[in-house]
Amino acid sequence: MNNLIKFFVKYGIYFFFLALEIYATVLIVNGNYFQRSVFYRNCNEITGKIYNIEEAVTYYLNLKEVNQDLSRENVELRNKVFVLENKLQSMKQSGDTIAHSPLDPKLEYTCLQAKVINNSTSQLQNFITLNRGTENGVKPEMSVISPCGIVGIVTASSKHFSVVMPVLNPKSQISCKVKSRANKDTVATIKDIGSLVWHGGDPRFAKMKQVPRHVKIKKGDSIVTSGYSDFFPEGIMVGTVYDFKTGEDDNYYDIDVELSVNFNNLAYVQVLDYKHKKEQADLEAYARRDSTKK
Amino acid sequence: MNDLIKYILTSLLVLVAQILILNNVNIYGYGTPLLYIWLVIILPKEISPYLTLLVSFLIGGFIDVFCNTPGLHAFATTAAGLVSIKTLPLFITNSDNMHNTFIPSIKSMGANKFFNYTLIIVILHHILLFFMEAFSFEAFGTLVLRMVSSMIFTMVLIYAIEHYKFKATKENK
Repeated sequence: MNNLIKFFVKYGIYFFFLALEIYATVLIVNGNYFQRSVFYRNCNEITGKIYNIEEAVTYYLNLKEVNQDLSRENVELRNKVFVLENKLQSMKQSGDTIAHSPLDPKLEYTCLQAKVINNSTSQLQNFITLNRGTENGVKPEMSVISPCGIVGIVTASSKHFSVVMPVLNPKSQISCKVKSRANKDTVATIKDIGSLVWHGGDPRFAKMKQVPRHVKIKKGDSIVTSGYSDFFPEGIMVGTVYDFKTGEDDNYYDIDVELSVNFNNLAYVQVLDYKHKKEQADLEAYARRDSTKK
Repeated sequence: MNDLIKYILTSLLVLVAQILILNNVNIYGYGTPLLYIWLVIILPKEISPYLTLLVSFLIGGFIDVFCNTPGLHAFATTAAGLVSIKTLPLFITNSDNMHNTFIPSIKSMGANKFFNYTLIIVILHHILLFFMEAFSFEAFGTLVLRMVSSMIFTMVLIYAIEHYKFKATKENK
């Protein structure tokens, strides 16, 4: 304590000096418009930088909730899109001169949110496990998509989990079509149909075989689902044409497709439920049976 | 006591001259003589350093009130006060210490030493004042030009006054 007082007495003049200068600085900053604006501008810059750092740190902490919110929102939006598409379809047809019976505007597809809890990309037969099961309405043969594009098809489901066979599995075959890139003048045209397969190797690429030679394909064209299988609705993104060459018999193209979904960091997916699936399958089975009888 | 009254009267005269005349002098738009710093220079060595600082602050504050620049001159003048406290002993030899109050002047210090002592304080005061006024490094060249021309002007004025005082005391003898 004694030393402290001595210290203050010894350097008192400097403290007094500092006090006066600080007081003068306060006067300058408060009293002069220009100096004040410069002072606060610089202060704002400093506080802004600090807040930026804080934001950069807390951003990661909140990421999980943000992801969940986004995924939930995606599901809602996709459901809305299905409703609107159906309505649009029915209105178009009712406007035609030929009297079509309008499509039922009832929701054809519904969407369920799910999270990937197990995933592999390095094996030949890859499978994905989701955290939703029959209790949540996920049943086998439902299709699974992510915001970037298609993922696969549900093959088995238990009460709380379900297993998806992704595109990255040689057993999966998905009917796809090439959609040329729309530019200013031309509307996007659907070109032709083939099936997407994957035979191991790089999880970023799959192959699309048996595309007829007459189709003009450019690199960068989109590949979308055709809607002819009863799994996926039409027009869901699959990937883009990375490269193409003629196959063994020269009549068909083999296309290397760069998949739009990155299977390595798949987190949230949506399970699509096609409402009339059973009806369609039953009818088709019946027709086949009927024709073989004759 | 006599010295105190003399100092107060000189101060009033110089401050009034500074506010009414010298602040309006603006050679080619650059140099403004800041004679009031002379009041800090001639503060006697014997008074308490706290008092020196306080007087410096008040002189600067007085100018600020009339220039409408709160704190600006007070800031620079207080710093000049501290420098005067710390540098004055370096210029004084024992032989100068025969008066009971030591007031820095040509007579008490000699022309050379007084010039150096004044120069240090004036340079510091002007640098602080002009940089606080500009508050940025934009137009640095103009700033330096204004600073240097004001310094020269101030030094010439202070030296003229001191020289006149020196001559007057000589003739009185």
